[in-house]
Amino acid sequence: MKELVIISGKGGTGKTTLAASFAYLAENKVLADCDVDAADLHILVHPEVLHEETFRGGVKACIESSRCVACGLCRDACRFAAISQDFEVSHFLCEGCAVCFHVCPEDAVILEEPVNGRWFISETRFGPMVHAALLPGEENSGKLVALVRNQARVLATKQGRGLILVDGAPGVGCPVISSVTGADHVVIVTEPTLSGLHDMDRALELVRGFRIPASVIVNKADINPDVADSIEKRAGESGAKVLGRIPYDSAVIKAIVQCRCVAEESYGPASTAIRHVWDRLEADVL
Amino acid sequence: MRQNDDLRKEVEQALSEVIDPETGLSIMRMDLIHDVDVQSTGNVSLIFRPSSPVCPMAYALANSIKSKIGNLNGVNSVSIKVENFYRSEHLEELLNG
Repeated sequence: MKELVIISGKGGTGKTTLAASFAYLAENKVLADCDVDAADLHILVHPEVLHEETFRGGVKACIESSRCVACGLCRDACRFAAISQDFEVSHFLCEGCAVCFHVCPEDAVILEEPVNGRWFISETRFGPMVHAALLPGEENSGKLVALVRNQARVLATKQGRGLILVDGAPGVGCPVISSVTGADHVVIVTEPTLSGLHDMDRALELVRGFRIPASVIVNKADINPDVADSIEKRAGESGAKVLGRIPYDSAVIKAIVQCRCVAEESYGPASTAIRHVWDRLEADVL
Repeated sequence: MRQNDDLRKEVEQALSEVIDPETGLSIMRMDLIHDVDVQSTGNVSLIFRPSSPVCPMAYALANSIKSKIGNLNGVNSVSIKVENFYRSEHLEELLNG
């Protein structure tokens, strides 16, 4: 079984758009949407939820007013300014470090495990998918990503599927690290802008740190061929294979507006390039 | 002596109570335990595959597995083989040595 993770470094480069097209083109796979902070692969693959569970990723402090003597020790110790003058804990400021719990002489602080999000096992137009969504303002997305990847693997093993196709998160932070660790291959989707180049560099550095083979796709490559050249050069210097360039194509936008992926909609320039890239990926990596 | 099947059920129950702190799921639901073998002599062996070769919780989870099963009545020994982990030999040595 192979696990292919698609990340981007910079957000908005077309990572999920490509992931959906790959989901259409790939056979015998399980999909995993690990962009749990802003999950949107479901918009293009139309899941029917078969199983749903809550996710609790950490603790939050709560002060019992009946026991609190308003000594202020908890407020002085809190490094996140999460405790108000009235000794109420702000749910969004509390980081769950539990310092208040330990310094309270009256045992007035309790630690609760609130629901941070939900995760799902679904059937989609392109096969089974494990996905999740954090609630607004919630944290610990790395833990939820680990859960989604694990359950995708469990499902793939159970159903005898040979590929796990993971739509990762943008950036290089905790959810991305959680998306790529132990994967077989990482595809970095970038765009020919300076921020696209810069963030691809950071993503490459990250996957090198975990010794995971990586390749690069330049999306909307013709909007700035000079930077596209620089991206390919930099990728080569970093030991990453360039899988290809995808041109800007308004058919992509038209497909997304209809909640579909471009690979199933047309044989225009972008769709054709995506198919070539997938063929290369299948031949070289999978 | 208790039936082998009873002890096996107890071993599986004990394993299902070991929770991965990252996902909040039991290690059985995460499919981290394979080839559980419970002998009538009370010797238990299993394979532990952490969710990632660089799983930071592998040592703690393996220790929990060993003590959970080891504390069951009727279990004489617990042998754990560790796979898919970059320090599997070191971990096995600590567990079984």
